This record gives sequence, structure tokens and C-alpha cells, in this order.
Amino acid sequence: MQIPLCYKVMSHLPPLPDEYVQYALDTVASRKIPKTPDQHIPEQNPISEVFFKRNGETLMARGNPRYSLEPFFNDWINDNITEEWNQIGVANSILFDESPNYTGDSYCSSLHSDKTRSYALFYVIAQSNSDQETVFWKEHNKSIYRKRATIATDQKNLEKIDSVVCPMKTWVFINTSILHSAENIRGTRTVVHVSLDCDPFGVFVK
Amino acid sequence: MEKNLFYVVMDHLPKIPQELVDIALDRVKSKELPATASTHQKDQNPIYERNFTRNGVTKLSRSNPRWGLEDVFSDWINKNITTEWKQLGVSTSIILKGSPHFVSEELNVDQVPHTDETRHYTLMYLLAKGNEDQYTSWYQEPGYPLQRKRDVIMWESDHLKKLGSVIFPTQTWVMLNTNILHNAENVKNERIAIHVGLEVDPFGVFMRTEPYADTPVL
Repeated sequence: MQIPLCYKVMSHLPPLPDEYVQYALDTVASRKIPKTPDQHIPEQNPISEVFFKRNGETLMARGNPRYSLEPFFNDWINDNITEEWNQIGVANSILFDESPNYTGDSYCSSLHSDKTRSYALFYVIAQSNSDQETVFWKEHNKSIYRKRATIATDQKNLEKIDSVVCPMKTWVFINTSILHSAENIRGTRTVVHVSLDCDPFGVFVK
Repeated sequence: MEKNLFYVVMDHLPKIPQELVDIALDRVKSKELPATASTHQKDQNPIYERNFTRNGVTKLSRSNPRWGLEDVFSDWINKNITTEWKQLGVSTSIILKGSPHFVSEELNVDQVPHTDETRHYTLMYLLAKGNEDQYTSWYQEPGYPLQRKRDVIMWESDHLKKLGSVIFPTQTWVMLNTNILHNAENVKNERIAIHVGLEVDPFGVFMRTEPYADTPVL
């Protein structure tokens, strides 16, 4: 199998100025973190209880509510990154540990393709542990590139094709149409996202 | 670096059975084609009255209403083409004859250059053309990337760089990158096509597998 490009570290793109990083951190801190999916619907990434099987065990995935950073970020992103975005937000990994269906900390998100975008620029601004990983998967007998909001329910049907530890405060471009998951999250993971319906950099698309 | 692709002829994909083609044609021909944007019932591709500047002249763009085919096409597409689609539909090209900018069928033959509003790629299967020499063109706007966000409309088109044009065959699947500015040109009458609208490229025909190199911005 020819392995596609799943991500690219975009270290040539300028770092976010400190005041923007602080604004994103304050945005997350000002939100009440939901303990169950029905307590709160964030603007950009609605959350729901998702379960999947890993090594035969059923786990509840971590949630990743994403809150808008528009319009504070618009001009800076337009001037320094791209004008071709469709959303700008900040996401924070959480556990639904007050849900009656909680299965214990799984340390990872669901295995999914994204619902609202095809690509995303990630910019990690806070993490509890430095070995958090984004892993890319292919489902047996399926295309690598999947339609939106595809969720794999059993990891045994998947093959790991690539992974990246996103460096702090560095833009990383992710193909979110490939099944992926955030793994080994032992606490905080706060990430600024620039969401895209196209690939303005020509990284993934010829 | 792999060169940019605007379209790929997918002639290895199976032809649509005649009974489904007939259903799609019936669906188009059963519709009353609107004379103005305001009389159109919104379906997959809303009609707007769009006037754009070409060679310094304001021209009325042709429109491309598209109607859903999911109710009858889903199973066949899932089994024979892909399960990763977003919309299935059939479209035809029309000119809004009620517009004050309408001149004639012979002169209003082009669409405004645009990126698509509801999809990133489409598998198109032409069923009927009013004239054989209809073509599809791709463009890049100077100072902007090749791949653009959704629903970019080039109201002023004289500054665009034309990247290429192609006449597509009928009864053959063609995959188009609709994130690149494009339009249908020289359409003098009908242009009926089945569309499989996609937000991903399940075939990987447009996707890079070689090491990345920066794409120049013109």
C-alpha cells in the first residue's frame, strides 16, 4: 500500500503572538468544562458520547469541545497564514467522567474523520504530557480518505498508517479526512485550530 | 514535484445502467426551468443571478440547477463507485431569460468562474450536450493559492490566469477538483450531467504520495 501524506509540520509558518495564545487559553478557561455531553454544546465541535473497542475492551472516547476564536483571530490568520479557512477555534480534550456511561480514562479520542472540515492546522498551546500523539488509521477494505464524521467502532478493523507528536507552538497541517485519533492524553491538551475545506498550501492535494 | 491536476477521466469506472440514466433524464425534463432566480425551488445547487465581468463587459452567467437523485441512485453508486459521497444529483445548464442582463442563448454561454459551494470534488457523468464543443476551464487568481475555500465567485474575471480547458466525453465518469476556480464555457443549450458530490477524494487521484514541495502562488 502506498502511504499517503497524513500530516506536515509547517515550521515555516509564523508562531502565534503571545497575546493570541493567551486569548485562546483564556477562552478555554472561561468555559465550564462539560462532564457529560448533554451539559454543553460548544460552537464548533459538538460533543457526544462515543464508544469504541480497543483490544476487545469497550472504551468511552475523550471529547474535544472547540470554541470559536473568531473574530479576534481573523485578521492575524488572514495576514499570516491563509484566507481560505472556514473556522478558527480552540479545543480542549476532556473526559465525560460524570456520565453514567463513563468507562474510565481511555487516554484517547475516538477514531474518526472530522465532521466540519477536511483539513486542520493544529497549534498546540498546552499539554500535560509531551508524548501525546496523533495517529492515522486505515480501515480494512475501505478508502484511506473517508467522508465526514466517519467513526470506527472497533480498532481491530484498522491499520495504523502514520503518527505524529505535534510539537508545541508549531503549526502542523493535518488531513482530517483520514481516520485519526489523539492518543496518550494524560490530562490537558489545548490546541488552536484553523479549519479548512481546501488545501491552500498544496501539501496534500496535487 | 507532482504536477497539479484539475480533473481525471475515470474511464475504468462502470457506466450507469440505462434505466438509471432514463430516471435522471426524466427528472430534469420534468422540471419547469426558471426564468429568474426567484422562481427556483432550492435543491442541491441554488440558483443565483450572477453577473460577471469578462473583457470589460458585464455578462449574465449561466446557472446549473441540480436536483437530488439519492432516492434511486444510492445503492448503485455505493456498490459500483464509492460509499464516500455526500450528494447525488442531476443538473442542467440554463440561462435566466428573465434577467435584464440576458442577451441571447448564443452570447450568454459561460458560467462565472467559481469554486463549488457544497463539495470539494465531483464525479461528473455527462448525459447530454446541446453542442459538442462545450468545455470546462480552470483558473488561478494571481496572489492566491490554487485551492480555494468554498463558494469563491470571480465577479471580475479578467485578471484570472487560465490554466487549461477540456471537452469532456459523454457517458464517462470524470473526477473534477472543484476547489480550483473553474467554469463551464461555450454552453449554447442543455448540458445534463449526473454528479456524485464528494468532500473527500476516495480514489486518491488528486492526493500526493510523493514528498511535499511548496506550490507556488502566482
